[in-house]
Amino acid sequence: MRHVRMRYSGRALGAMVLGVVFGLGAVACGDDGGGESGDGESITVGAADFSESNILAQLYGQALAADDFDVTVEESFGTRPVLLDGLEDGSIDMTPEYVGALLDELEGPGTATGDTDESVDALNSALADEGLVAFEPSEAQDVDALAVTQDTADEFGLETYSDLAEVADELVLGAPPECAEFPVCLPGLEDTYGIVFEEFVPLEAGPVTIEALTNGDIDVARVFSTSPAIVENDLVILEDDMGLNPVQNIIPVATDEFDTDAVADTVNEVSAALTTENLTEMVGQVDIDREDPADVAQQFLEDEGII
Amino acid sequence: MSFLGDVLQYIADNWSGNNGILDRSIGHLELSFWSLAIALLITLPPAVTLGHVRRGGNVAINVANIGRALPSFAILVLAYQLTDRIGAVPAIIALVALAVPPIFTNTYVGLSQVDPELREAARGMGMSGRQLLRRVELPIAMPLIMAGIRTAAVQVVATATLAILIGWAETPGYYIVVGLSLGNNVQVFAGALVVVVLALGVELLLAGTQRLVVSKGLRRSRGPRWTIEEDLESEVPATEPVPA
Repeated sequence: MRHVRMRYSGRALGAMVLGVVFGLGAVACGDDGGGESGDGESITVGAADFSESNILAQLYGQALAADDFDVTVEESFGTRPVLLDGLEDGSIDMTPEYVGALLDELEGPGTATGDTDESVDALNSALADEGLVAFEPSEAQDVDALAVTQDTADEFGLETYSDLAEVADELVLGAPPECAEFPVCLPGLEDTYGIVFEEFVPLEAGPVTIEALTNGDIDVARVFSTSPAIVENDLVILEDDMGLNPVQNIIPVATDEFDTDAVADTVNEVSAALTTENLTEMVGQVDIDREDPADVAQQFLEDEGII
Repeated sequence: MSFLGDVLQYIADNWSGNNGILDRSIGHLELSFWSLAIALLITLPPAVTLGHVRRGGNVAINVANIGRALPSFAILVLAYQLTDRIGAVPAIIALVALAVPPIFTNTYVGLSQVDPELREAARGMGMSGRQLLRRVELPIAMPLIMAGIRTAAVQVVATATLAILIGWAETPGYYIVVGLSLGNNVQVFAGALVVVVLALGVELLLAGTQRLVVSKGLRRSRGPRWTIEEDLESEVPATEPVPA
């Protein structure tokens, strides 16, 4: 497990403080955000143990650092329960999350829906009870999607889940074990779409599942919608035409002491710049090209003019 | 209801139907059967030959040791890594690899350890090598050979459960894995219980087979014994392989 510390040296910090004192709005670091700044306030951003989360933490962290916050980014801090504990005990102050997954974690599986506004409202209520606050959701999502190879899609004419329902009994699904009973997986697929697969093979998410799909050992796979493997292997993501899957917009969450305009403006600016496509590309740069999440994040923020 | 009651209820509720416990048990036994059959096919001929001519003892010992040292799960994962496939292909390869050592070792030792005096006596009676093998050595070695097959069979049936982890879902191991991911202990236990019953069933079946196949004259003792004269007894010494 690695975490990347981002600390401005004392000298740089002193320079920025001087800059603020001697010239409001004339700070050389190119910050556009309405004059509000972090004033060196310290904030720790924690990530979950996978590249996408590390990238997001770096994005939010570096943007805040450019806005005069004293930022520490803890990559691969832990799983969701560990991150929530960290927010509670102060080891971390902020973490990038997913609307549906977090809501289901707090309120029980099946709470989140396919409606973003509804789910975000429910999430805000749930978070308030925990002394946490969420910022604006991004339009970028990382959804648990169903994928087939191009050949399978052509053979059975598959574009949507509804198409799948007609031929599912000839197809084998590969997905993580909990899919057997999670409301948004097998039971939901059956209830909402009438999809019943010939066989369900429990497989861990990621390369194992992708390989089984491309080998033909399984016909349909559950994949993360931002997985670079999708484009790499020419996979077809089926459309959830009746909205079974809960929304999984990226949404940063922090303890309510950071519920300030300074934080919100910066963080929302990053979220607004994110799309599922550019996030997928960044994940590819880390997973396939083996680049560092911090570098990838920095490049993105510079390209978008945020830092 | 007690925990065990819940488990039995779960088994009853999920017994029949498509991909139910019965279906998966049958799939499990099919995988085990074919793996064992292939193992017998590739192991018995060389083991019998080598045991009969009493050559290659080192091979036997090394095969036995390697077989015992390799953890079952590691072999399954290795088979997956080597074949890049999931499901029946790596599962059978791994299960065959697990079954070979006990079958080979017991067969080899059983045959090679037949009392030399008996061999001499048989040769003295005019038996050819093949007759010696068929009428003396094999019957005497049969308890050990069957013991090796039984060990292999039970190991295969037990390990086939792990095949779920490399994508063979037609096994009660399915309930173990799904149950673990959901924290449903009833489901986990149900899957495990079914596998235990399957393994015991196979063991009993083969014990019955052994009774049929092992000559009556060998049955009472702890190992083949042969009395040539009243006060001269010789015993097959205790060996590395699984005792009969």
